[in-house]
Amino acid sequence: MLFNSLEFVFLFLPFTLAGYYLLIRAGLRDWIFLFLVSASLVFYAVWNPPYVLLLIASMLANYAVGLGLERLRGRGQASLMALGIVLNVAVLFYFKYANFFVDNLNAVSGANYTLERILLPLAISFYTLQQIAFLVDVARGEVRPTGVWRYATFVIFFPQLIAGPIVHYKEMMPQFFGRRLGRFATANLTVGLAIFAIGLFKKTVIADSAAAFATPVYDMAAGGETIGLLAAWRAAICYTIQLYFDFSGYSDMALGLARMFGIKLPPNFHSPLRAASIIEYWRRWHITLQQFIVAYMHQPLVVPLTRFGAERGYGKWQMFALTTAAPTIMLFLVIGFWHGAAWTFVVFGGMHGIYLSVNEFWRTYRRKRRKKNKPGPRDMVFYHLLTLVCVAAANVVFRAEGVDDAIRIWAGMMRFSDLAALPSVLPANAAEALTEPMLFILVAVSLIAFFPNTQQIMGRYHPILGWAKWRAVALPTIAFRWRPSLPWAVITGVVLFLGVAFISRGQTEFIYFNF
Amino acid sequence: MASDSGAHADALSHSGTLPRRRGRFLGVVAATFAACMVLSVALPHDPYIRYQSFKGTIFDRLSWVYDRLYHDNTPIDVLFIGSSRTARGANAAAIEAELAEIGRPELRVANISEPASGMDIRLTKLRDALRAHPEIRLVVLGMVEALPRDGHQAFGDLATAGQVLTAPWVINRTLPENLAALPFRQIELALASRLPDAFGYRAAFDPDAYPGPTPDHRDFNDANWREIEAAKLSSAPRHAAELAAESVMRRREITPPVLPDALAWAEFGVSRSYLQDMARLLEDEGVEMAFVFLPFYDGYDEPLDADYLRSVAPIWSAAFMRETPMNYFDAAHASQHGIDLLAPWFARRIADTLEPAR
Repeated sequence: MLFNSLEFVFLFLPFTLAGYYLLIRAGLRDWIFLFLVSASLVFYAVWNPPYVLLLIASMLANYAVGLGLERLRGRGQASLMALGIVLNVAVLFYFKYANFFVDNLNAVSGANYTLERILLPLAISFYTLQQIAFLVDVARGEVRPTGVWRYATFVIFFPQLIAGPIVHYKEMMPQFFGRRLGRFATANLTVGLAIFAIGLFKKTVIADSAAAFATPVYDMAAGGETIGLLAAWRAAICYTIQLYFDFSGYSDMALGLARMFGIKLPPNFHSPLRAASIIEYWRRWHITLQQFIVAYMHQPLVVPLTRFGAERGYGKWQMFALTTAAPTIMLFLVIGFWHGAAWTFVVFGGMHGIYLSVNEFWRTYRRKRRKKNKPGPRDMVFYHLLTLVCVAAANVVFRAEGVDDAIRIWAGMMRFSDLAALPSVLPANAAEALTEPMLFILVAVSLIAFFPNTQQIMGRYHPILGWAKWRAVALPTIAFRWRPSLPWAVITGVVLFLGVAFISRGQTEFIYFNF
Repeated sequence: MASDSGAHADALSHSGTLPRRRGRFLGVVAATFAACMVLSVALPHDPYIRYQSFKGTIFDRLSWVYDRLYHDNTPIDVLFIGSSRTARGANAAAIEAELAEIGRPELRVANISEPASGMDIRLTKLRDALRAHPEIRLVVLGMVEALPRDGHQAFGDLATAGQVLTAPWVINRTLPENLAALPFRQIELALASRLPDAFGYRAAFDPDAYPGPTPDHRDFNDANWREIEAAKLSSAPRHAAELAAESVMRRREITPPVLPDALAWAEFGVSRSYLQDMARLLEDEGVEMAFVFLPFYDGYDEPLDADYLRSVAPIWSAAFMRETPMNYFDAAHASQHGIDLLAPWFARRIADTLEPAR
């Protein structure tokens, strides 16, 4: 079921909220887990009922491994841990990557291995990572399994099931206990509804409009057509806008929905397109994935590499190559591939890995000078623009059907012989203000660059877990904060109305539903 | 973890500082939402834009329908409204020629049928037709084997906002979707009425793009229909075999009534409701009404709901054509040969129904 569907907004959500609060009011708190799990399974089953069994099997297996990890210590625990991770990765590999590997093996070797097309189970990339994190946390003694229904709620609580945020057991589950559960229900519903409305608006009004401008150019590229300068930049910019508002809109909706149940989730976005470097960008884009990579992959990889380099007495730049550049590029290749079984995602990951390595190199190289001379306003504008161009260029291959298509658009982005046509980007009449992307881009870029993000708008009510850490980050030029006043009630109503009304323009899936 | 818990507690205490009137806040949100719905539904638009909004779909002949009704002063005496079978089988030009043959050259025919057989959209078109052409004397509604249980898929886009809002509620499965789509539709139509160029619509009638009062509906389907029909009919045995196979499939696809007769008003509630509305409207306007049944190949002699339909208006059943493969382009639609048979048959019935003006 899609968050941006009428059956979700007007049927599933009201009934689920009503059932949840009725159980709490009736003093049946132990039943809320069974209720939420059942509702979430219905939510998932609307997409493809048979794959519910895979989800349940995955949960039960991981819970059993979690129980084992809690009891075992030493080598036994390490072996079980490895088994748990291998099982998760194997399932993910089979459903997500088996066709890709067979196709590529056939292409390279000329063999003719056949494997039926495997339908990618919705959310498998997310619930796999979330469960791996749980196993590691159990092995580290940071959490303990406290019942299968609670565990199931942690894995498939529908606001975060399909595309994150990737949550930790220790972050989410304690919120379901204690006297606070069910208290401030109206306040949480109010705040949650406002966040949900903003997310829905981002998705149906902005992201889907951006798609209407970007998609035709990618279709042209897929058709082998030559892409001109203006069309190529239109594709890169509009898709960047689409991707940002689509995924951050989804994440807002997830935050808002969870908040309606009195649960707070970690943030996934914090104005990443206002970043002045790629390092900063990745700290604020898909934050929970980034945190997963850092905690469960980067640190375990870098620590032994650092020891290895230190033992051999490597110098500064050798150490940089060994402990920063190499692991960064490798991990970003993995992140890219995690997004999808296609070479486009590998290239995407590779590009960001290189961006980050260059950024880290520059930082290290310029560290002393930066302390003396802080970058001026002009430098900052340049850094912002450079970051945006790099991100938009990488997004081209993220969106393209194939690497060839992306190359066509990149070539178009550098077709400076078309510069003479630049004035044509300005709308010649009122109709062109709608049909041409210039006005849309200006509005969307202004929203991104100058206006507060969702958590800043809702900052008064601690919209996310760990809000204190983000409160002062990427402050907006134009600041305002939501409050439960009459004007904001009207604004919330209008935003919600537009978000709901634009669903009828044609529902499009969230981009991250494909991952 | 400690900081997260702390933040959570902090947040809830902040939530607790929301005014006690937050219930009223939610009420204002709901009221604003409702007000926006009402305002959007009330947004005015040019109905010509609404009829053009089917551009690029199988219903794109609807912009011609609007032109025929509102931009073409050629009188209409007989109006056909049906599905694709009627669109193809009741060839207005051929029927007018046959009427002239039998001494009724004054009778002008218009066929504003379009694919699919929902009844709701027919009332929309009928209202527009009677508004633009009060001279209409006979309306012939095309029927298929069974009344549809649902409304027409284009009704939500063609009907006025008022018609969508007042659609019958009894087992009207398309109603929730039509209602939900209405606000965005109204916003888009209002915008398109102001900026038609942005949406690829015409603001005014374009005589050069108008195919005339009696176009051949086959041209709306496929410009190459002649070649396709010639290829289909080039081998009579093969054509007959294909029709027979399709006919079997069509019989199988007909779902007999699920509920007992006494509950047919509910099961076929949408269709019956609109048929009754059309009958009342035509009676009020003093316009004759008839049903025409063009059976599929090797199909039935008359509609399965014939008893009910007869209680509303007479049925003209073209059962004579159902056993001859040559009469069919495919199992449901007439070939040129079938059209040639139907035209005089229609002309006789029209002439019998409409007395010459004195």
